[in-house]
Amino acid sequence: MILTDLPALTLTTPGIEVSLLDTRQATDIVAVAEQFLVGEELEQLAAISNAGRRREWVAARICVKLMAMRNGLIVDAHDCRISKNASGRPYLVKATGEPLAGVGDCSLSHKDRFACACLCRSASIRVGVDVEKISPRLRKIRNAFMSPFDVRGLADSAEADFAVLWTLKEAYAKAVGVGMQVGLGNLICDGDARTGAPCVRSPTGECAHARYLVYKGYAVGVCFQDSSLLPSMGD
Amino acid sequence: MSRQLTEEEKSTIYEEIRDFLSEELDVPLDEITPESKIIDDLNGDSMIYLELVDIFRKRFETNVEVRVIGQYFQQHPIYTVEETAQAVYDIVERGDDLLAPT
Repeated sequence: MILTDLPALTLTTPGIEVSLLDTRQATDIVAVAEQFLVGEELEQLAAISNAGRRREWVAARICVKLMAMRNGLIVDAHDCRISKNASGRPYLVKATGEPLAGVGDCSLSHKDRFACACLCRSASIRVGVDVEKISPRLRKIRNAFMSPFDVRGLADSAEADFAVLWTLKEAYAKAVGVGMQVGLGNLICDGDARTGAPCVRSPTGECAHARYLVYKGYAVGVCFQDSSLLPSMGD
Repeated sequence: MSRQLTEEEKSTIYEEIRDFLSEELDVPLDEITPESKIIDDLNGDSMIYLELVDIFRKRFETNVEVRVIGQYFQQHPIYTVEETAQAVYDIVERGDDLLAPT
């Protein structure tokens, strides 16, 4: 399995990486699940019946584990697993359940052929990532997630624009833990007042920095929240 | 504004939800049961819920804010087709009182 790195979304200073895994690399990615997943994960996989969902679920975990290996955080994929807190937020731990040194936060996403993972080395930063296919689907529900104050023209087509804004707001919701209860349409994607860099903010002003790109017909958005990052937003 | 759905209306809503999921997620209709989990069994995503809510909000001219619906989903996590249908019934019947204790 080979990861696709997204340098435009990588932030060296705080140790934030984003990578994609293209499931088309393997004829049957679920067949290799045991090479990457530990007992608890395999049990969770057994509870998922849909074939497409199984592929995406496995791929997201392979993606983050390959990133962890590449960073020297683990030697083997079986050294760690994805656990979830009471809110459903994922975090990376040792296979035994103990905290995994060197990992501050992580976020997963998957859509169709792509699994996406964001790994953050800093313990003070929360991250969120989302990948979404560019399609007419988002246009139909744009009133449910777009704000009139959102910056526009982030991509080269209206459909891509909708997809980028969707992924950024979903990524924000994952990073900050605020999404549904305020409504994605009440989140605003615009530019940081001081640096001009993209950011997403809630109605109460809680802000997360944002990065995005369009890759092979999919939008990828990542948000990260740490006030100490503001001086280094040029990274 | 709230209204009371008849059993026939609820049945129609439920079948429309199944039809929508079948078409959007490319799953045979006979594989969609009340207990089917929209994400784990049908490979749905968060957008599906917004799409369904949008359809029925327009159909029944319900002006409940998406934010309020989001808070409802947080209080009543929805995993299955049956739970989704019940959420739609509540949105239509209770409207702006969606979050009020029952």
